[in-house]
Amino acid sequence: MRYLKLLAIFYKNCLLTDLEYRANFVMNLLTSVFWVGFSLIGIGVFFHQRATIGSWNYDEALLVVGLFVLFEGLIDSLFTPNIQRMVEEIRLGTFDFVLTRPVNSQFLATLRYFSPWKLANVAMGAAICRTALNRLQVSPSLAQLAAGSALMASAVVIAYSLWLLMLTTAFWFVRIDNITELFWAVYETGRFPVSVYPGWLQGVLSFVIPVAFITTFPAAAVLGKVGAATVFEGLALAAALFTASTLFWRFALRHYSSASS
Amino acid sequence: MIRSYIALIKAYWQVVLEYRAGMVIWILSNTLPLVMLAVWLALAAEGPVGRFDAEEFIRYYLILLLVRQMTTVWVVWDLDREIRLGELSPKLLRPIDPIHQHVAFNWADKLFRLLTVVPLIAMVLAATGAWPEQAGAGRLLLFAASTLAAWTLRFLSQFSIGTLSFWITQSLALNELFYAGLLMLGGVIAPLDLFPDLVRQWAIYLPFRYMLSLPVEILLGRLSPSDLTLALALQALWVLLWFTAYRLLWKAGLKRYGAVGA
Repeated sequence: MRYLKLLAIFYKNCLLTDLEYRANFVMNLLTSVFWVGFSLIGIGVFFHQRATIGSWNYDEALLVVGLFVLFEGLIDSLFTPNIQRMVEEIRLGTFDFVLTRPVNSQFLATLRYFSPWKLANVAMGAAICRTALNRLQVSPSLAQLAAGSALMASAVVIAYSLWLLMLTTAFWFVRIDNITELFWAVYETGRFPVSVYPGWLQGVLSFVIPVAFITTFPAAAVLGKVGAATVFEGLALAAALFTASTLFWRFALRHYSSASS
Repeated sequence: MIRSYIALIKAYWQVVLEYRAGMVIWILSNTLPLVMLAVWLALAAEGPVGRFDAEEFIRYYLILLLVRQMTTVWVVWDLDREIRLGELSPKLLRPIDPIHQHVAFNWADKLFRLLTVVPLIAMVLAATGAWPEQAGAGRLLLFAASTLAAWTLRFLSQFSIGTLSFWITQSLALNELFYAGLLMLGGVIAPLDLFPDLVRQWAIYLPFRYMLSLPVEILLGRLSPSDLTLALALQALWVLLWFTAYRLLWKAGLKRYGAVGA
């Protein structure tokens, strides 16, 4: 409860700061519209040549694109600002102030900041998902909705854990803006249903860097393409990744000796 | 001029070497063409797509990767920072136009890539048997010239967008939009041949094709002589247009910069 209250205060603070830069909102919205157009044309070309790819039709793939855009916005809004700040603070030594506050340091380091304007992408992604569902004219059953929601929730946790893992490497490498580039490079594969890729790559994208659990499987669950087994895999994967990244964070903290000492 | 270029490139070569770890990550993260290749290969497994079969896709995307490595440009970030923070001022005092420093930095990086990534891609091309063997010396020469023109286009357009930082704070976001255009209509998402006719008809008049896709099309021999002539003419025209834009914007920007900074 206390942490939720803190989170509300943090986000309000960020929102007030960003309200000063309203021109950025327009620019972000424009960029976001452009990139969405890019994603749509992107899959449009493929479906111009074929009716289905990886046994997904256009409207079903549209749902994957929607989730791709949505999670891109979510990560950019909630996780990216924190990783940028923390790299800066470790470099300058001010990270000590994060550690000395009477709050869980992982919470403070990973969730303190957010960029409200980047939520434009989240809204766009949600709109694409809605359009896709409308065009498909499917009314998911209660079980499918539950499966989809569970996988969406685990997708958020998976994304968070992957970012925590990358962020933690900053204790050793200091300059890690490049590492997040690698994440985005792999994330690019999430534009398409994972079944279009060759078998070995599907394995990597499902269980090593589980991008498939962020964009493909939640969509597949809503459409009834995958069953309960995938939901359990997703939840287990999210739990495992969260535990691993938290342990890694604690391990790193024990070996952190600040910038000046 | 040549002597100062050699000196500058030598200096920037050291910078490039110092950041080699970061460079390797940047090169590795250049995966979008490979993702697209994987998807197209999945489609080509059911039979050729348009005039492309699986082997042609591999050839197309590997050469695209090569051209992309040789035409990477990041001058807009440097220029934006220099203008915003006033780092440009000392550079203006030097007896050499600042653009030459950016060009030299870029060429040092290209030298690095020519020695590392390019042989790698060439090896993969040879190993997969995808090397376009029928390409004669004439076509190779045209390919090289067109790649150089593509680099010039990317550099001049990004430099022009960068000079907008004299007036606005959003030039980086603008550059991102331009870059989206390049990915979309420059042949990364799909070879231009595979777009619907309607899109292709007007896309060939935009600058994007000439910044990436054209050299690949030339090396693969996909263009009829009349198409080739038209394409090269359009590429030259775009270089000219962006050069004019750069000269005008740079001159006007410097006037404004002087008024604020002095």
